[in-house]
Amino acid sequence: MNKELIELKINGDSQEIAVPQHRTLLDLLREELGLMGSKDGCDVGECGACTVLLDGEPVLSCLTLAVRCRGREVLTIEGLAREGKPHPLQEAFVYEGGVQCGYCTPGFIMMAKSILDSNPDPSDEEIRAGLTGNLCRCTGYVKIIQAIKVAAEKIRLSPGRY
Amino acid sequence: MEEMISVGRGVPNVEAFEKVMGRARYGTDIAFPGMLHAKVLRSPLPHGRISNVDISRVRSLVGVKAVLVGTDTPGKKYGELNRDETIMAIDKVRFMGEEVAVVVATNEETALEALELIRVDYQPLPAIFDPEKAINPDAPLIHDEFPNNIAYQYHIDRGDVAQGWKEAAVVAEGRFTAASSHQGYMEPQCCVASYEQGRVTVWYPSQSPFRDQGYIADGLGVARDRVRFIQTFVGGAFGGKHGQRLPVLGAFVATRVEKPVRLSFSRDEEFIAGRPSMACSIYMRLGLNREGVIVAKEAKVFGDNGAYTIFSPRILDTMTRRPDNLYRQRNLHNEGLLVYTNKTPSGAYRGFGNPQGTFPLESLMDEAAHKLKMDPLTVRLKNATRAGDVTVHGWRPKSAGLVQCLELAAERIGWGEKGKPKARGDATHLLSAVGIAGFIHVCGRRQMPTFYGSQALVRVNMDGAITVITGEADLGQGSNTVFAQIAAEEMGLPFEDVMVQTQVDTDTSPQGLGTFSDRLTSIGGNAVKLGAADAKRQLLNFASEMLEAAVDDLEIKAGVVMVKGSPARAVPIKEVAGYASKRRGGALILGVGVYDPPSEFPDPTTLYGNISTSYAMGAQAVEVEVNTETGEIKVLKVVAVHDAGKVINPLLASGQIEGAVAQGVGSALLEQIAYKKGRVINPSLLCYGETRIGSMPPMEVHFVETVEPMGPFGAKGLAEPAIVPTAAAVANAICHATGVRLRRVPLSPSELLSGLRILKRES
Repeated sequence: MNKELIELKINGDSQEIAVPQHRTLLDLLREELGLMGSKDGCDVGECGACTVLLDGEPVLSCLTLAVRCRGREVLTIEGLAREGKPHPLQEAFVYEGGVQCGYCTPGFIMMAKSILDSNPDPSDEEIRAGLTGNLCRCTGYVKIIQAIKVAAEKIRLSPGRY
Repeated sequence: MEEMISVGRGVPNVEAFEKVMGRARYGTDIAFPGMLHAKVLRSPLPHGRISNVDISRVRSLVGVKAVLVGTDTPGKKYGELNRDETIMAIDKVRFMGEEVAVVVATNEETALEALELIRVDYQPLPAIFDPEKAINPDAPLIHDEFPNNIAYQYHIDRGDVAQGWKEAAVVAEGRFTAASSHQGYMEPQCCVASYEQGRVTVWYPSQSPFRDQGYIADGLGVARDRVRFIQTFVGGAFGGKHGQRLPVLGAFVATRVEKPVRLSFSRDEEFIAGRPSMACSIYMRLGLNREGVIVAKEAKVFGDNGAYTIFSPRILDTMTRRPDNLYRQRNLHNEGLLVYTNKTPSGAYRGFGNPQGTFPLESLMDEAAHKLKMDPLTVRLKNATRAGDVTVHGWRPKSAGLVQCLELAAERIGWGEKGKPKARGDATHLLSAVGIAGFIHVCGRRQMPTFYGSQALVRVNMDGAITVITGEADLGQGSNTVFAQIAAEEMGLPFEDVMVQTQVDTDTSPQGLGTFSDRLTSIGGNAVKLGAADAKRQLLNFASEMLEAAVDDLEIKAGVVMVKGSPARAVPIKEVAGYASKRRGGALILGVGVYDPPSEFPDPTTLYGNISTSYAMGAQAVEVEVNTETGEIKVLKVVAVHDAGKVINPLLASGQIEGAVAQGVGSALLEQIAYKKGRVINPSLLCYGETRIGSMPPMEVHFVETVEPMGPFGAKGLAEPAIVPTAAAVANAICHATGVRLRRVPLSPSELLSGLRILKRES
């Protein structure tokens, strides 16, 4: 099994890790680094539960090879809070009822962050279009859309903070 | 009723914070140093005799710790009802995907590699997939112990059906079918088990930890106390995370290796070897008199059990009898046949057969109304079950908002003005119309004559906050939040001062049967309420000493015990808790609540009785647009109106309805596990077609709040049955728009097109 030594940043911390060439980013996060927040719902890129941000762009970590992340920056659900305070998306998912079983939640929140990073005031339709790759079986999506709108407003009120 | 403070508030889910931070540990997240990994070799045949299993080549593979086959297992058949399964196939395989061997290795890749090296010789046997054909005497026999492949059957007569048919002015009838659908939870099943000193510990995302503990003990052939079951966070369940074979197999494997072992399902294994909903075909006839009153009903139901039995006899009971209670009727004949086939064993999925059974009844209600030239809504209102009724099967709902639910759903969908089908502008190939359907469901159906209840402990901590501990399972539906609200209300504490132990451990949690049958709010909630009342009584006894006042003169408000009418004579609960503890050698106050509902276990021959203490009901109305050129069916809007009694948490309650409607729309239009000669041909989320965000129609959710005298603070069950009426409402709207009656779920565009062609020819 060929291993490669890669350096990457995960949730702000630089790491140097030897990874087998075929190891996915999801397995690296969950099995080697103990970051269990990114979820494995299908392992073939159909559910979006494993979504993380790679240099700010959403990727399906179950389909991304870890070696491809050399020199890049990975943000997972565990790295979203600032100074112990949850991100507005995390808060809004709680208070708007966007979480039921919660298994899809980390993937939804990471995808929502990427939507809001590029479009701070998305319409319902834009939110729906952005979340088309994320499956949720519990909520019917209604309160997820609501949560993202509430979070978007809070973020707009504090420009540059999140 | 006095104004309530915690009950009725839309507080957020008490478990949500851990989940959004990525800290909640699900079944798939349990890991131990040195943990081993197990993978399963599955049958490539739907039916066959195992003539030889050769594992010799596997043993030499580096990293393999154990290879186990059916003959290594205890071999005793187990199961709650039919006792027809073993942990792995021993002499015969009965469905494509059945467990034949399991490899344990240091990592999953090695285990998967090892599976390739096992050689199994099979002698293929003829297989049977259609339950209606499987009962023929010349059909292949799946289990020797079950002649004609009949897993279970029953029939009942009520009233005088022959007389009923004489009174009927119109008869509507047809054959209806429903495909098998998967619960579709986002977390695939995963079990971690370890074995030490003769005791196996199992971590698994169960919706019924105590029952799964029992199934594991049964499968292993050991006493219950040899199994410790620890529930993890549950990534969705919807009926599918109890009674599965996976944790039994995982526990068995753990007894043969020296380290903790993880056994997980990949997503395709979920579809191939999970326990999806029961497919069925239902022949139903419904007779109404000239006034639109139901006078006779007959049904014959074939349930597709699959290869093994877990809950399906009870699902068949539900499918055939539960919808009957929706309407006032006296004369009926029901026949149910549960039939073995060489397919994946069927199991529980939200509604437990009620969606499949409600679909034909609510379709025929529309057809009969149409034949009578009456408004289907009027016919429903005329027949709807009301509070105080005794239904045809002996149900006695004390609260019933069905009539109001039907009326409000119709009003909100625009029943009057949209009642006539119409084309969208110039696009004459786009026709839209509205449809409606109702449902009734139990709030904890009594499945056994003995204890069917729930037990709760309410501990008053030194700081005056309380901890609620139950054996019931929160899968994300919010039962732990609802329990906290009930305890806070009962004790007069701020909601924020109540904590709930979030996961069940059979070693320490009080007994609870878990989440199914829509039982947690009513049965678990009543146990919590009784536990809180007990804790409060003990607290007030000590407070009465401190305040030198009689217990009856005391009340608790916002966490402070005070003498009624003299708010100056008061002491915070925190001080009472400390005082009580000092007086009793440090012991904390522990309230115990046990609730065994006064429901009736039906007589085994008459099957008659009040099987639940209360009944949830409601109606859904939909607006649907169909494309008469392509057959495309589009749901434009759903209005869901539910009588869940007093709604304890409106935020979580509406979330339950929204999620159930998404599943209902999915089942109505797309979802099915498709088989070809016993092989599941769509074992992936993409091919199966779970509802994505773009397919969700706009939705309105309303509650008709009745006050249920048997429920905690007037509440009833809510989450399970909201999936029940959706498919029927959509089919009724399609028929209203086009005149074509679709009788198969999922409703198919190609059948709609052929129906349209037939109509055109006939006209």
